[in-house]
Amino acid sequence: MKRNPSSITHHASRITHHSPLGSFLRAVTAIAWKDLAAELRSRELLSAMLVFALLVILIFNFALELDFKTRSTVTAGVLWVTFAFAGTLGLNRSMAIEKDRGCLDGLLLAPVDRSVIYFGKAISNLVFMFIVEAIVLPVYSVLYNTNLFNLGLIGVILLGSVGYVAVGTLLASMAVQARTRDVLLPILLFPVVLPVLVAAVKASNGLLQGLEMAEIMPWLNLLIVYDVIFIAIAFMVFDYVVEE
Amino acid sequence: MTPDTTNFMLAGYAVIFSVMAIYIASLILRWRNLKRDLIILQEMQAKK
Amino acid sequence: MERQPLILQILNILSAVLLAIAACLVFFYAPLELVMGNVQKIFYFHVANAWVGMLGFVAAAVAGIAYLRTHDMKWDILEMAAVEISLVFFLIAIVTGSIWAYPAWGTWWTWDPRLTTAAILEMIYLAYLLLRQGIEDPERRARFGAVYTLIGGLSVPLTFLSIRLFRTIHPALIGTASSAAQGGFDMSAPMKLTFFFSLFTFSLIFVVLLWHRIRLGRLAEKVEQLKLNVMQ
Repeated sequence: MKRNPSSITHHASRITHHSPLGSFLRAVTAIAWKDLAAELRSRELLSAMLVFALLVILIFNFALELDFKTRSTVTAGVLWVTFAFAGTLGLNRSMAIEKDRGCLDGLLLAPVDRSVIYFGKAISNLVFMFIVEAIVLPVYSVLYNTNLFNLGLIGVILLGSVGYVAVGTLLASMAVQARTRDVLLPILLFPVVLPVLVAAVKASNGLLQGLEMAEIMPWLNLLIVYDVIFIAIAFMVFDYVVEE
Repeated sequence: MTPDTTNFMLAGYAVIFSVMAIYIASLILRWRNLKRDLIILQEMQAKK
Repeated sequence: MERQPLILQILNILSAVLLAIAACLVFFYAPLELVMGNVQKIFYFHVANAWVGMLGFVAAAVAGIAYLRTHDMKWDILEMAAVEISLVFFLIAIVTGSIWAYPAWGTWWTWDPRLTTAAILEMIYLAYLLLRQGIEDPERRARFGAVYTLIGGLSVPLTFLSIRLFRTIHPALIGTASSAAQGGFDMSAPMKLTFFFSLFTFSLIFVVLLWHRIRLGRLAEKVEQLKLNVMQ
C-alpha cells in the first residue's frame, strides 16, 4: 500500500488498523478460531452433539408415533427440543474444556477486554450449533419425508440459535464454576430461554404449515427483541462472571 | 343458582395460612440453628 | 446478634392483627359472589399473595443490579431474602389460584399467561437456589446470584409476552369464552374495601418478613465468616 504523505489521512489509516473495534474483532475471531481448530482435530464435541441429537429424534419417533398426520403439527417442536438438548450438551462441554485445561485463566490474563472472551466463545458455540442443525435438518427431512428446506425456516433457526447461544454461553460460564456443574446448566438455562423456544417453535410451525406472514411476524419480532436484549446484557455482565 | 363452593374456599385459606406458618417456622428454626452454631463457634475461637 | 428492634416488634404485632382483621373481612364482611359462590373469596388473599410475589421479584432484580454496581454484601442478603419470599408467596398464589380455578373454570390448571409465568418464575427461583448451593465462595455466589436474577428479571416479561401471544393466536381452549371473562366479576364497595385492605396487609407482611429474612441473612453471614476464621 502506498503511504499517503498527508498527515490526516495517514492518521486515519492508522486508526483503521489499530482502532479498538478492529482489535476487538480480531481478538474475538482468534478465540473462536482457536475453538474451531481444536474441534477440527478432536471432533469430540460435535460428534457427541450429533449422536445425541439423532438419538433424541429417534426417541421422539417412538414416543410420539410420528405418523403422517401428527408429523405435520409436531415437527417444529421436535426439532427445537432436539436443538435445545444438543445445545446444552455442547455449551457445557465447550466451557468445561476451558475450565479444566486452565484456558480460561490464560484468557483472563490476556490484555483484552473480558467481553472478547464472551463473544469468541459465543461464536464458536453458535457455529457448533449451526453445524448440528445443518446435519439434523436434512436427516429429519429424509427420515420423515418432509421438506424442511424453507428459507424462512432457516431464518428462524438462525434467530433462535443466536438467542439460545447468547444466554447459554453466559450461563454455561457460570455453571462450570459451580460444584454441581454437570447438572446445573439445563436447569439454569431452560426457564430463562423459554421465550426463544416458544417463539421459535411457533414461527417454525407457522412457516411449515404455510401460514400468512402476518401471523408469523410477532414471533420473529419477539425473537429479535430477545436476541438484542440478551446479547447486550451478556456483554454488560460477563465481566462479573469471570472476575477472579 | 349459586353453587356451594365453601369447601374450596376453606381449602384455599388453609393453604395460605399453613404455607405462611411453615415459612415463619422455618425462619425461626434457621435462626435458632444459626444462633447455636454461633455460640459453638465463639467458644471454639475463645479456646484458640 | 442483637434482639429485634422495637419497630420490628411493633410491626410483628401490627401485621398479625391486620391479618386477623383481613381474614374477618373476607369471611364475614365481604358479600357472597352469586355466580361462583364462596370460592370467589379466595380472590382477596390470592391477589394479595401474587402482589407480594411481584414485590419480591422486583426487589430481587433491583438488589441484583445494586450488588453488581457496589459489590456490597448487604445487597446480596436483600436479594436472597426477596427471592425466598417471592418463591413462597408465588407458590401460595399458584396453589390457591388452582383451587379457585377448579370450581370456576372446571380445571385445576390452564396455560394462561399469568399462571404459566408464575410457574416459570418459580422454576427460575428454584434454579437460582440450586446455583447458589453449588458455589462455596460467598463473593462469587453473590455475583452469580445477581447476574442470574438480572437475567431472570429480563426474561420473565418476555415469557409473559410470548405466552400471551400464544393465547391470542390460539384462542382459549377451556370453555367457550376466554378464561379471564369467565372468572371475571364486578366488585361492589365492600368487596373493594376487603380487597384493598388485604393488599395493604400483605404489603406490610412482605416488609416484615423481608426484614426478618435480612436479619437471618446477616446472622448466616456472620456464622460463615466465623467458621472460616475457626477453620484456619
